[in-house]
Amino acid sequence: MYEFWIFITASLIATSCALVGSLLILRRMSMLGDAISHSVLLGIVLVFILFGQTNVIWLLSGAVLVGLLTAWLSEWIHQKAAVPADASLGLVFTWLFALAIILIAVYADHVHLDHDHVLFGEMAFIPFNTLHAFDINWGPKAFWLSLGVLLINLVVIGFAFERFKLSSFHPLLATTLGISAAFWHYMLMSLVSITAVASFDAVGSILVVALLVIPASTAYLFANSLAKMLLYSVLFAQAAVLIGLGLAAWIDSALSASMGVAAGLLLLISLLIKRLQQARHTAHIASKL
Amino acid sequence: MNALTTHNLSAGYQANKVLQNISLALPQSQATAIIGPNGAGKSTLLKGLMNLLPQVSGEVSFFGEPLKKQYHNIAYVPQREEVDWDFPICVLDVVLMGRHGQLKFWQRPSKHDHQLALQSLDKVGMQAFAQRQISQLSGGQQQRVFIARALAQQAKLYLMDEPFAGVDIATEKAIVALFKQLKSNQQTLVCVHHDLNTLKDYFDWVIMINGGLVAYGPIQEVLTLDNLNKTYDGRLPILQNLGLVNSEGSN
Repeated sequence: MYEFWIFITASLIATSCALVGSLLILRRMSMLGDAISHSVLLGIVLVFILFGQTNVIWLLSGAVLVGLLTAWLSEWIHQKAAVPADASLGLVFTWLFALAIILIAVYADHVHLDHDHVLFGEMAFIPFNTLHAFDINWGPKAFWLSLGVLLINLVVIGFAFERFKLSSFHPLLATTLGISAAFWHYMLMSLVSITAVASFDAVGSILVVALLVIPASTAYLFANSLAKMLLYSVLFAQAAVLIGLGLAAWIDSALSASMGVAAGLLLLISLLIKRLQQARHTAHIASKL
Repeated sequence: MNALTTHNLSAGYQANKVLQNISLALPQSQATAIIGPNGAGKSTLLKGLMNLLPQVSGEVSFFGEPLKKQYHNIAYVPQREEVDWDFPICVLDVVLMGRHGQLKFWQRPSKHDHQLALQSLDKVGMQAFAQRQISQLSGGQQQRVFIARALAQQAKLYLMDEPFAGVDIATEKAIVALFKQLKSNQQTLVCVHHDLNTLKDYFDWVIMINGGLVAYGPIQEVLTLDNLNKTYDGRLPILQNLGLVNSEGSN
């Protein structure tokens, strides 16, 4: 059961990351995903310090608020202070993250949120922190959190699929049709925030970016529609999880890092295949002339 | 009723607005061109009308109502460069986006929407390309797809930002034929236009701007040498080539 829980949790997290990551990439906003995956820590810490809550609903709410704040504040500084967009994003999320680290050190030193854990996660511990209710062991908390977050992602993206397509392709066009591009932007940022929280425990705030960006980028090479892009990115993410777990067992390395490496290797192989396809296609056309 | 009325419309990206105090009224069923030098605020005027800029002030009404109530009646066609042509999407799906304003967020386009999209593609001669990826289109084809998207919206007023910029002759002819068709259906067109040589052939009205409004009205009445000089600050090397200018200048 030990390996099973790790595998299923990693798989759920990778699926969520692939879905929101695809939308981020199409909007040219993957670094905003990076930023939010760090700054949500502040939300978690604040909820704990201000309200003494470690309940999952509270954690997710805090994370969403700080995630939205990150997106809004970086845009606001970019516009009001005439700081370049990438710089304003960089300064906002690092500052919020640093603030969270300080707050942990001062007010919450006894909590299990330590720095290493936040940065790198620790998948091997997932099965030990279990959910008990009605005298039954329901399995690891991380599993239930990941499942819940994935369900929210699936429901929101599934229902509002056309809105996400339109506002990702051309936000201005959405506005001229009377559809609020800003609303769907912040909706996506909320999804990124809860996905980041679910990923925190397992892969940490650095490698979550690998899961957000790499499978989606690989899918971008082959997809010819948004639906296919979402499907391919989920498949590539699952492959990365499987290969990563195998790799980790084989060379006895960290699970999350192995998954990141596996995702990157898949991207490289895909690039090669894509190149070969194009070369063959060109040769095919040349032979017809 | 006028298709479009503005009162003291100013718009731009910063507090110091490019476009200042535009007040005008355009009747329905006319094709109007917006002309002016580079940086005069032609695109800004269209974007200002649609409230797409961070800084917009003044009043705008479409068919006597504010924009909020008229979104479905106004189709905006952006400049070609503003679109991400690498987005993984086929031509038909782009055209279907014209129907999204009428759909609730959880709804998918219906059969009727698909028919409208295909008819719109047919009107611009692009039906054979329905399943093609937009990244594989030529510049002219891209422009026609975006116009088809506007047609699918079934609007009454079309705002187009340089529909003829960088398109091939076949596309230009297709768009001009479409303009005639739209006008005969009592629809209204407002386009940013660059080519003064074709102005009289393609349009009925003209809006001349250079930061502010220089003149607007039927082409025969307002396209005078005096107004052109004011619009282009006297720097219009091709004025001599325009037969119309000489004849009107001598009037």
